[in-house]
This record gives sequence, C-alpha cells and structure tokens, in this order.
Amino acid sequence: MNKNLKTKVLLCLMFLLPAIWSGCNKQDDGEDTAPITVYEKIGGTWNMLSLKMIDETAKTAGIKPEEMVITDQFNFGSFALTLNLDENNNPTTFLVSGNAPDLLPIEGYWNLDKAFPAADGTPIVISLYTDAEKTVIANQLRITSMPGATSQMELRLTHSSEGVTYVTYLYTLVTAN
Amino acid sequence: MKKIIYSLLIALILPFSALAQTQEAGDIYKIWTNPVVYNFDEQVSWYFDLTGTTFTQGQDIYIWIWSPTEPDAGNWENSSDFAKLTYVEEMIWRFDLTPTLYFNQTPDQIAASAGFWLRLKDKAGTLQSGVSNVPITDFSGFAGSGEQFKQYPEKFYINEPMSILFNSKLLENFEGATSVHMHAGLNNWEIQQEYQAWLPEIVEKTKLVDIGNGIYRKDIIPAEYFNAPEGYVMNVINFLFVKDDWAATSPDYILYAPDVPIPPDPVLSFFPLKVSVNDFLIITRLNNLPGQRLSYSLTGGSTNITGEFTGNMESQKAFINLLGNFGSMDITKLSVSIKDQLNNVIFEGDLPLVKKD
Repeated sequence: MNKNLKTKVLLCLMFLLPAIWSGCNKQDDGEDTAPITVYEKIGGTWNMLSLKMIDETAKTAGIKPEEMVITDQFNFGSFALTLNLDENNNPTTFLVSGNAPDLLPIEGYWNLDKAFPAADGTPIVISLYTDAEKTVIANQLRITSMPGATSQMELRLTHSSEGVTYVTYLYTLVTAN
Repeated sequence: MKKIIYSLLIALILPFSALAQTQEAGDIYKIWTNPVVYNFDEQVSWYFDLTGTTFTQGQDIYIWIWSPTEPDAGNWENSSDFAKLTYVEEMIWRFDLTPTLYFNQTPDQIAASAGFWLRLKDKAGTLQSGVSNVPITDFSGFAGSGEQFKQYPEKFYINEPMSILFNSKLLENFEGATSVHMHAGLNNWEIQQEYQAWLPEIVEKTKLVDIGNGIYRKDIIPAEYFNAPEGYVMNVINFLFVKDDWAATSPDYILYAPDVPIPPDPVLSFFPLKVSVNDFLIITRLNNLPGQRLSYSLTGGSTNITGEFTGNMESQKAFINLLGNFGSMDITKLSVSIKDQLNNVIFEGDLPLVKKD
C-alpha cells in the first residue's frame, strides 16, 4: 500500500468515528419504550471512591487550603450506599454500610426531586427520609455528576449554619455492580 | 588608627634597639578569649595557638604587652612570673588575667586605649613572636538593642568558646532574680543540659554570670558543656533562661549553627475555618522541628479526647472526629491544647463552634 492510499484510508476512518460512537448510544426513537429514569441509573449499591471536605468559607475568602481528602480517615474507605428500587424502578429504602462515622443516617427511605435531568442543568436532589411516608427529611444530597460514560457518581452533602453553607462533603462513588 | 600605628611603632623599635640578638619565632597562629565577651574588670583567659612558630611544645612562654600599659616594663631579659603563660596542650598557651588589675587601669581607660598589643617571648628574650593583638569583642550595643539574647561570636562552633548574653530587663518576671540559669539542649534537645535546681553542681554549671545592668552571660564550649560525643554535628542550640528555682522562665530560644539554613516559621491551621460538632476537624502544623511529635487534647463539655498527629517534620496533621465524639452535645466551643513530645505548648485556646442548621 503506498503512502497516499494509507493516508486516505485513515482519513476515511476518522470521518466514520463519530458515526460509530453515536451508534452506541440509545436513541429516543419515539417508540413506546419508556425513557430511562435517573432512578434506574442510580439504583443499586455504590462504594466509596473518595470523600473530600470542601471549606466553603475558605473558598469564598480565597484562603488555602480549600479542601482536604478524608477518604483514608475515619474508616470512610468502607462506606457504601445502597439505593433500593422496587420492580417498577420506584425508590424504596436506602442503606449505609461500613463503619465510618454517621454523616448520613444508616437506613431509611429515599426519593429524588425529579426523575429526569433538568433542562437547565439544576442538580437532581436525593432526599433521605427516616419514615416510610417520606415526610421527615434527614438529609439531602445533590447529584453533581451522573453515572453515564463512567460508572461513577458524585454526591454533595452540605452543612450550613444560619443558612450559609460552610462545608461540603463531596462523595465520589463507584457502582458495586 | 593613630593609636594603633603608634603602638606598632613602639613594638617594632623597642625590642630591636635593646636586643639585637633576639630571634623571630614567627607569628602567633591564632588568638581567642574565654569568655568571648567580658567586662575589663572580669577575669578572662587569653588563648594563644603558636602552631607554626619555632617555640617548642610546653616551653615557658611570657607575655610582653605594652598597650594599654606595660606591666613588665624593663624586664625584657628576665620576664616576671606574673607575665608567664600556662601551657594547655598542642602548642596552645593560656594567659589568665583581670585586665583592670593587670594593667592598673579603669575599664574606661582600657576601652579608650589602642587595645591589647603584645609579643610572646621566652624568659630571657632570645626568642619572640611577631606583634599581635588580642581582639576585643564590643558588646556595648547589646543592652540597648532590644534583643533578649545574642551570641558571640556571631558564628559559633561546637568546639570553640561562645558567650550568650541575656537581657533580663526585657522580661518583667525576671526582676529581682538572685540567679539566672540556662536550661539547654543541642539539636532540639537531643543532648540536654537541664537546669536541675536540686543538684548543687548543676546549679553552678548552668548559672549565668551577672555582668551588671540586668545583663547576664553564659560562657560555654558546646561540646564540653553538653558532653557531646566526638564528631557530633551541632545544628542548633535550644535554650531558655530560668530565674532562681524556676520562679520564671524566658521564652524558648533557638540558635542555628553557621551554615544551617534557618527553617521557615511553623504554621498552625484549623480546617475547615467554620466547624460544628457534626463535622470533622483537621489540624495541620507545617514546618515542625526535627523529631518533633505533636499531640492534641480537645475538651467540650465534660468530654475530653486526645490523639497524636501524623506526618513528618514538614507537615503533621490530626484528623479529629468531632461528629463521633461531640456530635450529640450542645456546645459552642472546644478547648484545644496542642503540645509536642517535650510538653512544649504549641497551642492552647478555644475553638468556637458553629451550629449546624
């Protein structure tokens, strides 16, 4: 094969690449298959990849350090979060396992504030409830990175005082499945 | 300068005019004093290293000094006993004197003189060294400098005499001291000479000399004073001064040996800046001393927790689980105490807590 021909073949392949990629994604073709909800994407067990504390006061004031990784502290390496779904992919119970300190309740009920990502990119919020009727919110976690191309999910738990967030716990979790 | 030239002229002319047959032994290799700094009415030892001269080891050697005065005048051919040096070792001789007595001068007269100009010689004046002078280290500026302590010479070494001056007037709690003692160590207290106030010989050894006006002086040769093993490398001297029987202490002082880079100041920080009992607290200390190990004690309400920092000299951290230890308590602050392995207080104070919504 001469050099010119080789280059042409390569170029052709490069033009074809986007088509190959897009072919891998499910496309909403308007048929009666229900679209995939966020519940389906995040249901299951998630293991700890890293836990970071972000000092929001320092961040606002431009003071270093702004964040510290505490994954290897307080047994956070053993942390796992299981978000259970029923057969219709509706949220039921959640369970925190491992022997890290209880930043979150160890069990209860959960749901999301919306089942599909918002068009404006507003993060979806997971609410953790202590009661089955889901009236008492124990904690809320914002999903700031959804599982998709990677099997990771990023959750943010914020602590506020007098309405002002002073620290954020940034969980990066990886699916156990 | 004029005085120095005048002294040199006398030195050059006098001996030769009187004694044509005197032989030159060569120049004095090195001269130092112990103490390094002293008042002229205090006893001092002048040391002369005659290495490289034609004087022989252990030989009887005499001082012939003409400035500020000439105590042994007229006795060139038969030096007096009071002008005799003591042989120390390895071609080093010592001359002990109290300058005001030896020269029959007041301290001010000596201070205003051309300095100490001399030759060393044998008794009969047949062999003489070159002209030399004993250096005078001026420390008159120390009292008014605002410095709590200062070492002389500036560059000090483990096997050489050094003087540390201490201005007790700058520390209120030292007023009325009957004695001042040095509590000290080498290389961050690796080798110590503690001030053990119950041992008379240690009380004496660690005692500073009161040189008046609230100024005290400690004269040491570090290797001897700390009994350091041969070949020991001294990087720092750690010390503090103590009034009477530990009635008061100065701050901790540190002297870095020449060529030892002075490390950056330690930095202590709490993370996050605002914290509640429902969080984790991380205390970081940067730029610790070599070998320094920190520990903490936190008290909130009736609960106390303690723990060690982890890390190295550069950075040590304590990760503290406030949530697990104080999470159920309604408190607004924590009392924090951080100390090192020698019980030196690094931090003592309150950490305010915010209330999590």
